[in-house]
Amino acid sequence: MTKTITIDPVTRIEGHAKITIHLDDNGQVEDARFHVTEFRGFEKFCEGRSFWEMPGITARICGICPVSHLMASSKAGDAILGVNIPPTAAKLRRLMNWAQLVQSHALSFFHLSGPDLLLGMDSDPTKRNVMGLIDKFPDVARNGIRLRRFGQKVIEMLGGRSVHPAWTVAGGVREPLSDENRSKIRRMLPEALDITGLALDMLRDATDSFRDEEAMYGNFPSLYMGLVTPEGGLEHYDGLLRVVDSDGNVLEKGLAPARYREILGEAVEPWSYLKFPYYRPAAVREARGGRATEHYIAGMYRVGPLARLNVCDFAGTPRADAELREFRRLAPRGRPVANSFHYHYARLIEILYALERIAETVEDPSITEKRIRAHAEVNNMVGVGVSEAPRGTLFHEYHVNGDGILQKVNLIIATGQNNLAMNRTVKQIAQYHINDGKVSEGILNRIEHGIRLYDPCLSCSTHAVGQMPMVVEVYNAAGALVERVQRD
Amino acid sequence: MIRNTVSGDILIIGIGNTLRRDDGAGWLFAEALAAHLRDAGLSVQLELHHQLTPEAALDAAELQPAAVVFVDASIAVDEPTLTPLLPDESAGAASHGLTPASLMTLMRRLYAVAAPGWLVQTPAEDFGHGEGLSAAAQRAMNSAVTIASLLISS
Repeated sequence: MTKTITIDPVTRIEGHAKITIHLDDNGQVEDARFHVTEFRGFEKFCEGRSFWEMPGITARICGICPVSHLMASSKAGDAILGVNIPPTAAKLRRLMNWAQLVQSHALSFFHLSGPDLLLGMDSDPTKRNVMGLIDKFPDVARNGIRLRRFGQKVIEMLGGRSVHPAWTVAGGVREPLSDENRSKIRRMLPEALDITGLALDMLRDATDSFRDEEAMYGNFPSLYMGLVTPEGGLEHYDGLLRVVDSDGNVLEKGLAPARYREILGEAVEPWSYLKFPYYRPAAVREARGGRATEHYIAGMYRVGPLARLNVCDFAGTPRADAELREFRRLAPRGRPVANSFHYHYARLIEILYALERIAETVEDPSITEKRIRAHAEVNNMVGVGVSEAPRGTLFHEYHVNGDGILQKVNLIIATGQNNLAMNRTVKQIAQYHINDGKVSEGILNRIEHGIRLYDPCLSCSTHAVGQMPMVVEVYNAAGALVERVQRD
Repeated sequence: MIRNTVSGDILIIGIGNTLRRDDGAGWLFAEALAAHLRDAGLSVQLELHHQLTPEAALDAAELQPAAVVFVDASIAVDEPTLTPLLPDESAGAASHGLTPASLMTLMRRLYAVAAPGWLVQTPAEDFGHGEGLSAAAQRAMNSAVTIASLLISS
């Protein structure tokens, strides 16, 4: 008799979710699904508000990556105004976006995935957390805290506070960078760079212990999408959309981000609040009964650090480029790195890149200039803002009337774009580890780790309120629940 | 007594979100408490957080506080309560959010700062979207002076 395993709640991620594992008559994994069980609906309740308010409203979708929403929302506002913001304002926004990348990636690597990587996937679950990390690796825990604090402090210096800073606005930013704060950032940088170097060494050492995970955790062909500079460099704030396939062929070389609807579709499934975005040109169309159906799974693509490093030609800073060359040795020449386990490595490379860019930017003589905001009224009825959040590409699209009141809002969040890949990863790990329907706590944790690779933020992707515990359920072939594991 | 045992500042950490109705009571009560303690001649540092993150432990430890007072709104109390707080070695951090006890553990284990801690819980009944407190949460604000007296004398 077949059965289903459920992991509920999934731990060390942001939001609420569960995993169900469906077994066949022989106790082998037939299917596995990652269900997102929270819903909030920002898109709807923003209708009727002024677009000027949107950076402040959408930033409150999330306490971890509010800056990402500030960026995309402000850029959508720039488009509605029809302005090019002052160069210093653009540099300051980039500065905050890189700081956000550092703090968010540091949290993911050191505190959310660190316990698995350093204490072991099968270690005592009561110790497999930050406290366990402190017990065995206090220096690592301290480094993680200091690196994350670097990012938070830069955000605070620019925006006045680290969570939900009301700083970027349509047309630019509210406050310039002071000379005093520029000096403070300079002083903090060497330590942040040192910690990142140590983390890269630590990950390289740990990877030897995770050869199975390297081979089996999200290792499948897919498409990859991210922003690149016009020259093909790594980009997080502006630029063009690029899509490459699993052989490294460039499917979209540089699409203007505002045209994203031409290539992206959004599917829904009844068992999850999280939508399933897909790359439309790769979806398989089938005409049946006079209606065209799009089989969207063929359009699966990944976003985020791994995808960004796969789509760019180069990073553009010395140390990050050196690491990028090492990263590319993980895949056959010319092909993208297909294994999601390497999101960890990609995250650290992006931290390094962000720190190098921050170091460059604070030396720019124009960075403390005071001309930082363009003023205009509504000049366009539609505005699209796109930026790279830590977890991947973020789209905000606003439709307004002549008074700037929102008539329609569409948000496509990074985590949602990895939804198909997360489901595929869960299934792959479950199939590798579960035999005869026997599921240990260590196996459940491995399945959860498959989700953590993507560092999902379900509060953002469903625009939902709440924390993120996780549940795993196992169902037999008759659909009966035979096992349920829940963690708070 | 705090007054006799401290050599540094009293650190008050308010936890909450002023856009979620009574959840904002943690901040408001913390501000009122800080004012009363300053009026009593104590040196007070005040920090306000939406939630306790790991780096908050580093920020707190760098202040070398003589005592830490956490203030948070709770549906579990009917009136403001003051409870001694001990570090919780068993507390695991499932996400980025820490409890006051686990933050104290981080301060102690990572930064060798073992300041005594208290938890002030203020009553809450409405965590919906919006600003302003419910009548019950607002009434409890009047107890800040009492809690300050308890902290000074107990």
